Amino acid sequence: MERIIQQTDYDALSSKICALQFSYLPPNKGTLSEPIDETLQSLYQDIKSLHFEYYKTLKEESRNVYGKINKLMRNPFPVMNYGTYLRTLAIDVSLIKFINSFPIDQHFQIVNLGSGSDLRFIQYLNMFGDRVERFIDLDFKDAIILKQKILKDSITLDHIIQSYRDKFVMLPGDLKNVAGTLEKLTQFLNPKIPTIFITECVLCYMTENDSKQLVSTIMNEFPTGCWISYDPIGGSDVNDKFGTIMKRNLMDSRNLEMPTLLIYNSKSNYPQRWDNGKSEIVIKDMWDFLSESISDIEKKRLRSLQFLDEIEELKIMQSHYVILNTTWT
Amino acid sequence: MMQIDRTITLLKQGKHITEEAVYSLCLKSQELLMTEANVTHVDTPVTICGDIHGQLHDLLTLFDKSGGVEKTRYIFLGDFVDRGFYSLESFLLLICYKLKYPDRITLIRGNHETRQITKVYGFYDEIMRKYGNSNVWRYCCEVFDYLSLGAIINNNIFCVHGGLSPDVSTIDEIRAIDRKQEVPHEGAMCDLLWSDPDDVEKWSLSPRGAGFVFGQNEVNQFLHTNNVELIARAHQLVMEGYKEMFDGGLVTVWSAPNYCYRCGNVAAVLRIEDDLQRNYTIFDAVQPQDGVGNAIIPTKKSQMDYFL
Repeated sequence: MERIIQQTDYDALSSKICALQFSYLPPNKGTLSEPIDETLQSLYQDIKSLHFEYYKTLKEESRNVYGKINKLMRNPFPVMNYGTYLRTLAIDVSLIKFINSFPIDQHFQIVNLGSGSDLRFIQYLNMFGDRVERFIDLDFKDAIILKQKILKDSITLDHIIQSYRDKFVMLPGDLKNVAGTLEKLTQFLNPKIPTIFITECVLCYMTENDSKQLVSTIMNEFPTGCWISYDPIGGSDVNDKFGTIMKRNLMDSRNLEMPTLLIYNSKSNYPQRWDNGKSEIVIKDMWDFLSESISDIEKKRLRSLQFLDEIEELKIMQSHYVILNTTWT
Repeated sequence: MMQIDRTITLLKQGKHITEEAVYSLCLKSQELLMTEANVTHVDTPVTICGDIHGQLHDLLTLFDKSGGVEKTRYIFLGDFVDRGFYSLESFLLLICYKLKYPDRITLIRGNHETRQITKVYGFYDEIMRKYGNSNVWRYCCEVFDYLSLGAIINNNIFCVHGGLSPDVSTIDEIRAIDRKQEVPHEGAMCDLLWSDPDDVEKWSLSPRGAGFVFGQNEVNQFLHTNNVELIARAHQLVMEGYKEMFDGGLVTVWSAPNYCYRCGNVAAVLRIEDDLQRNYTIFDAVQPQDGVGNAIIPTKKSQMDYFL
């Protein structure tokens, strides 16, 4: 099961490389109507070269993984590129908003749970280096070992890592083991300063109980914090078969389980795990995010990249993925 | 004719068709389609079918549920290929039927029946996977260039894949288009295959990147000018299989159930009776099951269709 879940990282990485190759990412200037547009621009400055460097080094490091990712990349449907674009932006917009909500000299920590090959740590350390007290990537042992190797073998990436060696930590661990995870995290985190936790397509692979435990334990342990979570939702309407079909398709095609897809199946059910009476929770689906947050001029640019054959399909898919933002003090 | 029957049998079983056989079918169907007008006349009763998108087992269900080609006349509104795993088989089955029963099947071109779109949306890749070279894809694309742009039923119902165009006010103007080419990026031919209806006041830009969005005004104008009562089109996924708009002046018919094997929608076909009464038949996707009925197990393809 661990290996099957871990392989979903290859999907995430290949999707991101595709979205970069097809120029969905980085977003253009003026993508957001909000003042954080400029921050977003600087954040994405090197995103293409960083990922291509990582991907190139991966090829030398593991022909097997490279082959798997390369195979996944062969047929990038526009709907997939749109989705990757939206997912990437939604998480970064959430992160930037949380960072901006802190006092200007406030230091903070970021923890990417189930980070896989995500390279956000570089983007955020480059951008907010003096304020980031700690950036932790945590994932299964094998994923961390591969990532460490790749980062070390690339001169460019290793150089970056070296310059942040006091701040950036990669931790092997299994999120199902909540006590063990917490023990590892607390070694490197200062509970007195705000911490932002990210779970990007991570909780959906955990059982209801494990994910509940993980969220509540962390929220209890850290007195002030923020959480950004991105996941699919199965849909709560009686006629909505998206979740049932998704569960079956992923089970049939790769034996991948989504234990809570039909439990935390809607924008109102998904936040239950973070609701402790004191937390503020905002949740949006990705179709809302596209319609409300992305400017018309950027939408026009996206349209020009590939012919999008089915708006309805895009809407169905994107209304079944959500981004949750919550803060607790 | 013997060869066509043999090919139909093989196709229904999802079996391989030789490159030679595809070539010969494509050549014959080009010759047949060449003689058809841009807007074909069709008589009632007739069953109108929307997008198929390579979902062969669902196409077989469609024929099962709607009478079958031996007894029923059909208009297919295009988008035979792309997205599903059996684009080739679906398209070949339709052209085999067309060759065998020329007056019982009308095939209209969809926006996916083009070289450019099939390279992005799967048909090209499917051919490379099945044949190791692109010849079969090229033969099929040549047939695409000869497909009609529309049909007219009893001079009363206009059928098209996408919708209207600001460059077209009369059906005669469609008849004047030189259709035997790759679909251009703009202009009347492009719009007919790409446009969508919506609640808009006037012609608007389409979010798809080609064609236009048109509203009730444009539809009423077109119906009035051409003295027809209905525009039947496909092109847009409708979860309920069909959707009538603008006081019944336009209908969208969608015939690919559980589109892309993940959307969870039902499909529909629309039968137009002699008195022009509309009867919809709704059908669901067939659950893949070994050796049962027309169910074919979709080829195992690495699933990239979800965000993981």
